[in-house]
Amino acid sequence: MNIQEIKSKRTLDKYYRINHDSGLTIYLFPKKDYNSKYAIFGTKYGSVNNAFSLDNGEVTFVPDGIAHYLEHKLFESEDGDAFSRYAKTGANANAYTSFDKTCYLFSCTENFDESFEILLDFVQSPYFTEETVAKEQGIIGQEIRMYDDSPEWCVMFNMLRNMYHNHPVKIDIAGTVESIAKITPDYLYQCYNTFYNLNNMVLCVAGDLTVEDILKKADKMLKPCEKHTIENYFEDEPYQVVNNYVEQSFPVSVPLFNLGFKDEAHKITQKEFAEIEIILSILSSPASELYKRLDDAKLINQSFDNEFFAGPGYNSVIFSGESRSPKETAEMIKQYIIELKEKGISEDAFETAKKEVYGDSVISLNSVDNICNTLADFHFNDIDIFGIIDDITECTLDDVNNRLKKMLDVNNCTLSVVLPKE
Amino acid sequence: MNTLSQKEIAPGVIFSSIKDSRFKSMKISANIFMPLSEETASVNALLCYMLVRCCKKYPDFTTLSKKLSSLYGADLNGSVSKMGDMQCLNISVGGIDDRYTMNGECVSEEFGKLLCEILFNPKVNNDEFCKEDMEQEKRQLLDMIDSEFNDKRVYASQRLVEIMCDSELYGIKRCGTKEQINALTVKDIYKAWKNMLKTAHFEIMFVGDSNPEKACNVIENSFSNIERTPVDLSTDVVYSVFDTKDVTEEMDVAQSKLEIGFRTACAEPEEEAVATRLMCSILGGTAHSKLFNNVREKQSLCYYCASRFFRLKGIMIIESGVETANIEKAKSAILKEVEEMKKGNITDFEIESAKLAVTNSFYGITDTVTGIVSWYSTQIMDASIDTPQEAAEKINAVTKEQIVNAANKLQLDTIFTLKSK
Repeated sequence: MNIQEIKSKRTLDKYYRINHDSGLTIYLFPKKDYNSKYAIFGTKYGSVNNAFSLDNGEVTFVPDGIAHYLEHKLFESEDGDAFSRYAKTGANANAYTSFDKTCYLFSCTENFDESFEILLDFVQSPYFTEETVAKEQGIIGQEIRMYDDSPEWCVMFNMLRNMYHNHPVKIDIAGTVESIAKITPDYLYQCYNTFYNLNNMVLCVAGDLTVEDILKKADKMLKPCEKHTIENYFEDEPYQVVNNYVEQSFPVSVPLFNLGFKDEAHKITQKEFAEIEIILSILSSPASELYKRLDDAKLINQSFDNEFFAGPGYNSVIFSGESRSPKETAEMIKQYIIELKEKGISEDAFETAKKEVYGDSVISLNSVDNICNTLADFHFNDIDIFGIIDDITECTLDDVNNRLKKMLDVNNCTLSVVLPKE
Repeated sequence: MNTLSQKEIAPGVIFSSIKDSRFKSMKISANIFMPLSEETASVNALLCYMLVRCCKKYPDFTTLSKKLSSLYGADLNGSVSKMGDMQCLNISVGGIDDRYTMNGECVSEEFGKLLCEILFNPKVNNDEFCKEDMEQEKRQLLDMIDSEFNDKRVYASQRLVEIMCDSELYGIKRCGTKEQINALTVKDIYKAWKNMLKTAHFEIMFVGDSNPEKACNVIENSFSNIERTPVDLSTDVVYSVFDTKDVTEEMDVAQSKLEIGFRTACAEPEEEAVATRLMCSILGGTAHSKLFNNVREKQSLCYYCASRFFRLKGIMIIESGVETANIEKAKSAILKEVEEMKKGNITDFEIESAKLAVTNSFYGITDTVTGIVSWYSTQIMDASIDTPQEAAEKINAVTKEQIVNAANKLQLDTIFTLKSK
C-alpha cells in the first residue's frame, strides 16, 4: 500500500491518495471543523459502455440503459435494501449514472463509520434475481417518462442524436422502455463483474477525518480484486455531424436551444482542460463581448451557458439557454467565434476570464460534495484537483489563442431547438 | 463557526454577522421584506432585477459584470421569493476571500461597498430608472415566468398553492403577473425603490473570515439619511377548511402530476410547529418515509412522492409524478398513508430515522456560506432563532403523541391534477 500526501500552496489544502492493496484508489480530502462528511464510491462505467470485452475475450453487447438499471438494483441485497440500512444512521444517500461513470454516495454529520461500512458493503454485494429485476421495470419506466417531459433533456438528446452517427452517447442514459425489458440477472452480473472491479473504481472521502479513520474500514471491508483488462468498443464515428438542425415542439412557453460543436475525440490533458475552461468563460461570462452582443440584441437571458462535454470517444462544446430566436442566436455565436479566431482573444478578456475561472475553482473547494465529485471525475480523467488550479494560474494568452484555433469548428455543429406548441 | 451577532442599525434594519475562517469565500446578503400585495408584487420583483443589472457607478450590465469578474468572478444575485405573506427580495454579493487571491489583493471590502452602490445608488435620472434597462429586465423576467411553466413539477406545485390560497395574500404569485409587469413604467420602479428604502424590513447578513465592521458602517451610514417607517412581518394562517377543492388541467405531457394540499392548522411561531415538521418528514420527507417506501417502492405507483411543510403559512403539500392510469390508485394510496399517521400507526424506527435525517441536515447546513445565510435568514419569523444544535434538540424532544396530534390537525384542502392528454 502506498499513501501520498499532496499539498497545494495556493489553496493551503492537502489531500491523501492511497493505492490500497485491494486494487482500489482512495482519496481523502480532510476538512477541519466541518460537520459534514461525504463519501463517493464510483466506477468508470456509464451508459456508453454497451460493448466490451474482458481479458481479450469475446465482445459482449448489452441492452441500452443497463448501467443505470444496475445502479438501481445494487441498492438491494438478500436481506433488504441499503436505504433502510442508511435510515438507521441518518445519512443522506444517493447514486447517479452518467455517460461515463456510476457513483454511489452519502453525506452525513454523525455515524460516519456505520454509513461508510454500508456503502462499502452494498456496492461490493450484488444480488439480482428474476423477481427483483422485473420489479424495477415499473419505477424506471416512470423515470424515463418523467424525462420525456423534460424539455431540457429532450433538447439535449435531440442534439446528440443529430451530432453522433454511431457513438452510444446519443442514447438516453436510462435506455428505453423496450431496451430495459431485455435486461436479465445474467446481463447484470456480467456487467457487474466486468466494471465493478476495484481496479476500475475510485473511493473519495471528504470531511474532518484521518487516513486511519478511512483505512480502519477499508482494510476490513474491501475485497481484493485481480486486475483485469477491459476493452470498450465504439463503432467508428465520422468527423461530420449527422444534421445541423433539429426541432421539436413541446408544451413550453420559451423556446430552448442547444448548440453543439462536435470535435475530434481525443484524450484531454490537464493543461488543455485549463485552457478550455478559460475559453468557455470568454464565450459565456456576462462580462464577455459575446454575452453583451446577444443581450443587446435581446436574444438570450440568464439561462445562457456553455459546457465542455467530453468522454470516451466523444468531445464537444455545448451552448445552451432559452431564446425567443434560437437560429439568430446560433448565427451570432458562430459569427463571433469566427471573428475571435481571426483577431485573437484580447489580453483584457483573457485576464478577466482567467481570474473568474481561478476564483470558481478555488471556491469549489468549500464544499465536501463538490470536492468528492470532482476528485472522482478527475481521477477517471487523470487530472489533479490542485494541478488544474496551477495550470489555470500559469496559462498564457498564447496558450488559449492556440487552443481556440483547434476547437469550435463552426462548420461542424448542430442546433437543436424546442419550440412552443401552437 | 462562531455565534451570530446582531445589531439594529436603523429602524427595521438588522445587521447580523458570523465570523468563520473555514471558507474560501465570503458573502453579504440582504433580505428585503415587504407585504405581498396584488398592486406591488410585480413592481417590487422588477425592481430587484433592475437593481442588480447596473448602478450609477457601473452604469451598464457589461461594466458591472466586468467589475465582478475582476473580483475573481464575484457573484451578484437578485432573487424574489415568498416567506409567509411577505414578499422577499434577496440581493447578495459574495466571492473569494482575501487569503486566496492570485496576487494577494484585498477584495473583501469591495463587496460591502458594492452592495451599498446597488441598494442606494441605482442608475436614476429625474426620478426615473433607465428605460432601456427596464425593457431588458422586463423581457428577462417574463422569460423567467414562462420558463417556470417549462418544468411541469414546479408548475404543478405552484398551481396547487395558487388554487389553494386563491383568496389569500399567499396566493399571489411571487413576481406578480405578466400583464402587470408589461404595464410597469420607469416612474413606477422609482417609486417602488423609494418605498422599499423607507418601509421594507431589512435583514442583512455577513458571513466570512474578514471583519464585518466596515461593511456594517457603510450600510449604517447609507440608512442614516433615510426616514424609516418599517412594516411589520405577519402572515395569516387558515385553521379550518370548509370546502375541498379538486381541480384538473389537461396537458400534452407523458407523466401526470398529482398534487395534494393540506392545512396543518399550526404554523411558526407556534411551538407545535416543530412536531408538524417532523410529522411531515415521517410521512414523505426522506427516502425512508411512508410515502417513499409504500407508494413508490412497494407499489411502484410514482417516480417521486414527497411531502413539504411550509412552516410559516401552515400548509403541507404532497407532490407526485404518476402514470395517468394510476392517478386514482396513487391518490388513495397517498391518503391511506395520511390516515395511518392520524391513527398513530407509526413505528419507532420511522420516528427515529426521520429525526436522524432531519437533525443531520441541520448540522450539515452550516458547512457552506450559503447554508449559513439561509439557515439564519429563514428563521427570522420563527418563535426563536436557533443554532442547528438547538433546533436539533427540539426535534429530538418531539414525542409520538405530539406527532400523532399534528397529523390529526391535517385537513385536506385542495387536489390539483395535471393530467396527460
